[in-house]
Amino acid sequence: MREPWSRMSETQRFLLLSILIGVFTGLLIVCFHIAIDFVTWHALGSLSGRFDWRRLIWPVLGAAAATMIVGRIFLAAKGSGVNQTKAAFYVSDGYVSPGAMVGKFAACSISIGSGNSLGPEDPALHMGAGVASLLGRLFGLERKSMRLVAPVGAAAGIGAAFNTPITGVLFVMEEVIASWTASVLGSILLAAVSAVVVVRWFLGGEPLFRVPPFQLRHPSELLVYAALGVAGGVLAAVFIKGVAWARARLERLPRRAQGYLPLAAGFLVGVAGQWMPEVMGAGYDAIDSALHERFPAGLLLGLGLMKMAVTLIAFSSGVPGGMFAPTLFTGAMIGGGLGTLASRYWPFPSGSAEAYVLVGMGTFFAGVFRAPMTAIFMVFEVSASYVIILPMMVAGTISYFVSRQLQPVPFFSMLARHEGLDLPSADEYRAVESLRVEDAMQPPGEAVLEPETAVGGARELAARSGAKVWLVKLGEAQWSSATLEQLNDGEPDAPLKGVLPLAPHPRLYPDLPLDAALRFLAVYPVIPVVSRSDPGILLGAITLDGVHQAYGILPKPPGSGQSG
Amino acid sequence: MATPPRRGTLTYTLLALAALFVATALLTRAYRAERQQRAEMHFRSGQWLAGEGKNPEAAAEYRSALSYMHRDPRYRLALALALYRMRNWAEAQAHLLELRNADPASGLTNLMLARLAAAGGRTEEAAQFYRSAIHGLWTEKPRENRIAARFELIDLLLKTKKRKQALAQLLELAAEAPAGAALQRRMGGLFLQAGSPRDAADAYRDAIGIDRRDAEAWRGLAEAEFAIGDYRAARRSLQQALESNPGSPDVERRLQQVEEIIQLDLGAPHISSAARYRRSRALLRRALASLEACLAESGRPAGTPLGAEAEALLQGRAKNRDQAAAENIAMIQLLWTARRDACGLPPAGDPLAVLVARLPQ
Repeated sequence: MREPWSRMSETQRFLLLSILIGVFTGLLIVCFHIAIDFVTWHALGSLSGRFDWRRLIWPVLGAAAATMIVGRIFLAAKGSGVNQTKAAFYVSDGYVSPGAMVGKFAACSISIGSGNSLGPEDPALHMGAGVASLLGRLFGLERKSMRLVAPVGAAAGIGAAFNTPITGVLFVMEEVIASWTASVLGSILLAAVSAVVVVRWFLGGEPLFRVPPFQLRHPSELLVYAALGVAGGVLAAVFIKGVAWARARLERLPRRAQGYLPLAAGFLVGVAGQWMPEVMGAGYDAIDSALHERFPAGLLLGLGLMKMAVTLIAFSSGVPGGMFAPTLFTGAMIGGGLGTLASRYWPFPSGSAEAYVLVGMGTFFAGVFRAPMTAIFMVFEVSASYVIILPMMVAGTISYFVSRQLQPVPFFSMLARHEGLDLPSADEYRAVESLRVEDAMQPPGEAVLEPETAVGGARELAARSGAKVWLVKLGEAQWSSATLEQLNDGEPDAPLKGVLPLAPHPRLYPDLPLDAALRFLAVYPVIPVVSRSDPGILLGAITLDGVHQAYGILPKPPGSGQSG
Repeated sequence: MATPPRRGTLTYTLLALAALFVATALLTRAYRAERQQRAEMHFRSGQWLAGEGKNPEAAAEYRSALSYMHRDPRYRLALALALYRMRNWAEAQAHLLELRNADPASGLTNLMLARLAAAGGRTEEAAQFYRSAIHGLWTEKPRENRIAARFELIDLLLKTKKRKQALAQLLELAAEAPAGAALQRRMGGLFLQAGSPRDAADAYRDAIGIDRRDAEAWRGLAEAEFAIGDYRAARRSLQQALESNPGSPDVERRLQQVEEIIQLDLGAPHISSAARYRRSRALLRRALASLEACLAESGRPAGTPLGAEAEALLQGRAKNRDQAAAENIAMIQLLWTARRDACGLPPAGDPLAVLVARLPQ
């Protein structure tokens, strides 16, 4: 008897597998979360109070152990999880080594748990991709589906780590796949939701942070949020440049010295943790405290800058771990600091600092990762407040543009190039202007023929205009085409409808991407371009020559004619 | 070309999933237990330190407890109370507000927030929190805690001169408060402050009904009767107070003042012309003495034309007692106005002030 699995179509199998991927990933992330906490408890105890010798020792030992795991045992676990997943999607047909999964779990539990200033989300994303890749291979997915399976697992991983399914889905769509039209959306959603359900089953349904009620007290507050956006964008650019600079410098050090870098980074984190224990580890508890106004403005700003510095050091020196949590921490503290100052000095009524903590978190995230949609929805999902969307959009968008202006290469692209990979990025796609039908279409002019027109008359028209192809109007909103060769073959007195097949051609709209026209131009010599409001209105026609001219393959003609 | 899955792959995968599920469940259980255990350890240590009066150390322990179980309201409340005692009001308030968000009906949380608001001079906010505390839920001694919260609210309202609101609260308190001499005495005092001496007298009588030898209650009843203007009743109550607590200088002094008022009261009903005249002269003498003392105290010259006129009235002989009494009363009022302009009025309850206030118009 055949297994039910083999009776299913590829699409059905992929959807069912997405649920399995989500559940497996969710379970793995629960274990990962617990492992990090166990390491923290046994190594550092509770991260409260000042001056504790354990905070000097354990980050060093943790960094050393974690670096050894990814440097000696599980080499595939090295590097950014996002880029590894993108590489699986674009380069290796969805293959993620199981070793990467195991290595990331072990190394990051130790490095983050021992207080190094890094986060669990990027490793979670990588582990999710690893689970998906393994299951995809076990179930013998086709090559096309295998390519897509890693992002499905990645969405489950990041959704489970943040306990926010929408954020997981959006981040993968925005950063990993770099496309909003991917057919894999359904699978990504299923996997992310399954993973989050599993995490909530075991660890509870509480959100990452307890967010107090938020209100925008005066429209002028949006100016403060805009200022936060500028600050977030500048700091994000400084941060990315800092990581790039530090990585390049540290790589030039002798190999032996490089081996000691993680230890030095761990020590520096430990030193910082003597005064500011909040900067150690992922730092979610500190964000939670900031959300409830437990820190003064000076401490908030200090924590934000300190976290940025220690994360930069830890990450650049190769300690395994992710950047999401430190980014959220830095943004939250900077936002909270500015918000506290605004509530004190802004001349108009302003909301409490916790709203700025939340918006600051998303602002810095949007600036560093160039994923503004993810940032906006993450803040929305975490706060469950519609009111926060507007300030978040203002601050997030400004931060995104400021950061892009100051640092054109996005964070993950910079890391990928550093690792010798050239992976596509949604942010870079956005910067490329795509051509549309209207860029290649020619105006209809006078050369639209009627089916009753005699072939001879059409030939005269051809001689006058110099065109090689015409549209023939068949009726209301229906066109066919006639080529010079077809005209030359017909009797001069015969009407076109007697000589030509005159089958109706598909229509195009001016706003469609140019590749939509290319598909039809392989079959038809010319395609009518019509108005969306009234398909009977002919706006122009598009030919292969016109497309070539739009791409610059052929020179553009001085005048405009129907054909190219 | 894809490799077809091996036979039994789905079954084995589901078995692996089940195994991982069970392992995760066991791990989560151990995780929760350890988290709870660590949190409790710090909490208990914090409670011990708080009991020793070491609030900063206790707060650090409570913070540690919270870092393990940051949703447990007991730890947060304990931390907030420790911070309150350390006068770290901003952070205490942040924790209390968080507790209130989670449990808006908590009596203790609302009470603490009320105290913080009152300390910060935010009276309206404090009153709101006190009301929430009064109507809130209490895990221990709910009735006593509600009464205590209401007393605090009344004190706040009286301090901020919101007598009507205070009186409303007092009436509600009187309706629900259990019998108890101390409680009734306290309510009597507050009724007096709120400007409702009749309710005060009732409260004191209730206290006396419980213990007839309650000197404090008698003393309070005397003050209530004094405020009502029933000086004879006040005298009786003060005498009862002295009987219960002989030799109390405060009661004796008050009794003397009441006697004085009774003897010189021109507003008392059914007094003869002779008595009215005699009382008016005595009162005129006192009013003049009060003005002269006031002028001397403020360093102004003692001899004023008004004083000379008053002296002349006192020196002269009355042909018509009623007319003389009326002239005396008119002069007393002039002297009292002059005194008020020069030095302000003496405190309420001062016998002379009471007597002048009771002068027939």
